[in-house]
Amino acid sequence: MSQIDIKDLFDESRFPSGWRLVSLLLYSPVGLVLVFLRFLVGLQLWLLASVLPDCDALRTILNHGLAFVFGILVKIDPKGEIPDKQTRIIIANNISALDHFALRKGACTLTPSLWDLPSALSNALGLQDMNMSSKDALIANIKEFLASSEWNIALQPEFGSTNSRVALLKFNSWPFSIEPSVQPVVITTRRPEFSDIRLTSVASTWWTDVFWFMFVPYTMFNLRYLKVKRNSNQEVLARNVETDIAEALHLSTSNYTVSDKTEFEKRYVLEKTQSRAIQSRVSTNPQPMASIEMQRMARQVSEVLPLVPHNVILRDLLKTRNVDVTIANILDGIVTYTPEPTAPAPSSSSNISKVNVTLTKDGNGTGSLTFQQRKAKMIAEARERYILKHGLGNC
Amino acid sequence: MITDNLYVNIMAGSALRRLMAEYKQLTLNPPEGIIAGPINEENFFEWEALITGPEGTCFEGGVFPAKLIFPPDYPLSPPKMQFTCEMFHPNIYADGRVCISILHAPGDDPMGYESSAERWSPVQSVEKILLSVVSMLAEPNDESGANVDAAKMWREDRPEFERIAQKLVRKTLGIPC
Repeated sequence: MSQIDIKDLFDESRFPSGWRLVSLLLYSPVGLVLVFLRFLVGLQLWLLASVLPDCDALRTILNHGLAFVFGILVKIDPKGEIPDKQTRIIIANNISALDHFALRKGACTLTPSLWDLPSALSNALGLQDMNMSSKDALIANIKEFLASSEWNIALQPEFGSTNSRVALLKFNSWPFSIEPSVQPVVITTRRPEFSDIRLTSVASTWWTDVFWFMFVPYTMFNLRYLKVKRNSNQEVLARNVETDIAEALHLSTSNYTVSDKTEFEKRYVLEKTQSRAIQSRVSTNPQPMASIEMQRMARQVSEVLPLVPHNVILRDLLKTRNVDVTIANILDGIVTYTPEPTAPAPSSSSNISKVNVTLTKDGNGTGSLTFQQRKAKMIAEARERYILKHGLGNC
Repeated sequence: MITDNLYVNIMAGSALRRLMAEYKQLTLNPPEGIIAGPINEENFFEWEALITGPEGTCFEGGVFPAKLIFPPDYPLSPPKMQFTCEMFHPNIYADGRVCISILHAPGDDPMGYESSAERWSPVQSVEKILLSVVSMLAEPNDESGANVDAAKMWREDRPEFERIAQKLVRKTLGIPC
């Protein structure tokens, strides 16, 4: 289990390569028009949901409308088990940002969410606004909801999607504490070959994922029911269901949790922005360089050479574009300047002995002593102070 | 091989210039209670530093000598620092090596205990290292286990820790008893 690298769980790019990429490019004008149309329809549905009173008919219309907007078709796998009517908690793997919609369409379930949407729209999306302030509050909320409603609740204990090719994220066990039996469902998807864009990629946001849903002609969700699992021990139940779903998908289980995923994505984004910053430094892009990057480099030089006026440093940096070279130029006396008035004038120097000369020639008290003398002086003074403070006299 | 050598020479050249500049600045504007400079003017890559124990802490009054060794690619890589006197401190190894985050390049810390903000980077300096060491003397971080005994004593038996520290202080000043 531990041999799996977390990197393998996520795709860097959602796009295919080879001839599929060519066909995707050919398809893209159609895709963009489709996105535009679907976006308009989505907007209409939103307005409809906000204006009209909530009723079953509206919910059905919205649900069908949204299926068009997202291009989602749902099929129940005939090879799967027959769903158990008694089991109210559906456990599924997580593969995309719109799993809840497919589950709503295929299995009549709602997924707890934090979105404050018009109730008809939220229901049509397969979402149920719930109190998520804490795990216990949410569990209580789900129990209450199950008692008062005929909708089932879907939970995806991975709480984060992967590329669904290597392994599942580790199942969180609290969804298994609500009821002693759960109905596992395996979700898989298929998109047309010529526009085979993956559902998600590393560090992508939900709205980019949704954009690509709207871009491709359709996304076929396949729901397959597995055997209902019962166990009063939530941890055991969680592991059993995890193994069942992983086996059905021909994936392995992993020890990575959704927080590992978040951490990985954070690191990924950071590395990417850093490498981009380096690239932009390399490429010749003088205008913004002069403003931000130059100021930063000038500060760096000032830190080493505080006596050199800022404008002198900037002028040389504009020529060299390199902190080290500018420092060298100043130290070597290639760049001349009038030192800042507060400090004694450092003279230019090009080798070690000259540095030494300037240091020892400086008029102020410490500068006139050699390093060894200063050391001895410091120890002697500290010793005196110590003896005085502790009243040691002569010991 | 030749290009490698050339590279090292160029790096060492810029390291030398930077070290010279830092030495100059430390001499002109020395931070209180700290002096530092090359042991031998012929070799700018080995420095000696004296650090006064901060007031109001158990190391108060002591003057602790330490050695700093700079790599040829300084300031890209951090220097190494080692106390040359006897030390007893949670973040200092028995042989005097100092274990603080500013001396570690980012990425040196597989456990991720240290945030990269306080790591070594070329904008840090000898002065900043020495100031960090002063604050480390004032406030040991007992989670780092450079010296487990010292960390344990710091947590559990502060009076004994202070007694040992005062003994070390006297030793650095050459005061017996």
